Amino acid sequence: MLSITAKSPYAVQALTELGRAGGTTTPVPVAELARRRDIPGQFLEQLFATLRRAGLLRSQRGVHGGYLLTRDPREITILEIVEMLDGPLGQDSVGIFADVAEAAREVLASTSVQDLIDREAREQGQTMYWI
Amino acid sequence: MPDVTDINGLVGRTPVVRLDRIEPDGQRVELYGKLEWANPGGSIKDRIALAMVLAAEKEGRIAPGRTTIVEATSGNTGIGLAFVAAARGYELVITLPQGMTRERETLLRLFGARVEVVESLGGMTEAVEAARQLASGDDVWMPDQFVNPANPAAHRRTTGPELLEQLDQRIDVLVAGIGTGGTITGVGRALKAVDEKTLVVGVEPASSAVLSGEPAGPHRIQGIGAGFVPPVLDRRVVDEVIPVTDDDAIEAAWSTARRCGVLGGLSSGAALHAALQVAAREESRGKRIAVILPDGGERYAAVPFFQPR
Repeated sequence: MLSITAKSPYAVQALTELGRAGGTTTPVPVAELARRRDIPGQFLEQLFATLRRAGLLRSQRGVHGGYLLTRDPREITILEIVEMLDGPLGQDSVGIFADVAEAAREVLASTSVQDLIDREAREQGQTMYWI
Repeated sequence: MPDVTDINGLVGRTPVVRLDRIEPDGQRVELYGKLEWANPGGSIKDRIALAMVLAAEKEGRIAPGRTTIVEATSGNTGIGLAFVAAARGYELVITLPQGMTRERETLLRLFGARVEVVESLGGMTEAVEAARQLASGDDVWMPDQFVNPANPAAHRRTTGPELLEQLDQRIDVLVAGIGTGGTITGVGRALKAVDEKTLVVGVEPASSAVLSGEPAGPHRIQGIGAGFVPPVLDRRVVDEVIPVTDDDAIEAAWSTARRCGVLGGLSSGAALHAALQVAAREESRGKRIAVILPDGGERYAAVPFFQPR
């Protein structure tokens, strides 16, 4: 099916924030990520547990604990994240919908978490200079 | 026959309209908006685009057919320069960072401007740098609206005196947004020359309230809030600066459109919100308030966050 649930956009938001703020070196608590991106905390904890089991995240305990990315944000595609949470995208689609699924996969596979971090930085920068 | 030989002759002399349906009850204030979108390029920036070009011509720095004009701007100044350059026979290059909306680019190109998209990590820094590099070549000139004295001078000479004439030489309060600071500096000077008691109120984005001592930050109020204190701004003219949030600016633009039929853009909304704050004060009873509305809401009709809810 060609379905992307609320899990994927929330996780992409949280991972973009994690990539921007902590990346692979500084752990960030899940509650902090949820607060910064306005995501329900418990829901995000569930999503992060899934992503940790899938090997995308690792957690670090302690006072300065939190989650870390296991790979550089440049190497994590949005398609990976979507498929970890919502399953294979467009697997059973046929005809025109198979084409739609293929196009969607292509966009998501060619975009990395780093691309989204860069895009946000650009958008924030550009809004300041429309003079 | 009208005495206008080219489009540049239509810059300025914009209308003023009373906005009585949004005036606060019981305050007996008079609120007037100056509709700068009546300029040929659709914004207040037409005034400074023309003034900067004419000033450089007068100094002999530029000439049509010889000089290429280069500026880094993704805002209304680019559009102003585009039609001024077209009508006077200049080549124009506008540098923009990657990721700008195509709509602006199209508008610039329709006037024959060349648009150079610059690889950018964020913001206009690289675009400004690229423009500077181009401008150091032969016969290339950069207007540089943030430092060009022709910018505030245009408002001192035209916008301010127009307002005074339209409002019978009596203006108690001026409200204007601060982008380059040219409008508030020029109009403020003109008004205070007639009545030094005129209260001059500037407007800046709440999330980038640099003039109020806060750090620069992202905001959505295009045209104001440069993120630094612009050299053109004369802070001695400004009595007070009011920070306005993105949401309040948008809301004020919408409500003025719905209640008065006057559809301003984002910075117009910010100025209107600030003007209504001033109007509601005890000491504002019976005062005449003029607010500058830099561009119209039509320019933002396709912008997602401007869509009516």
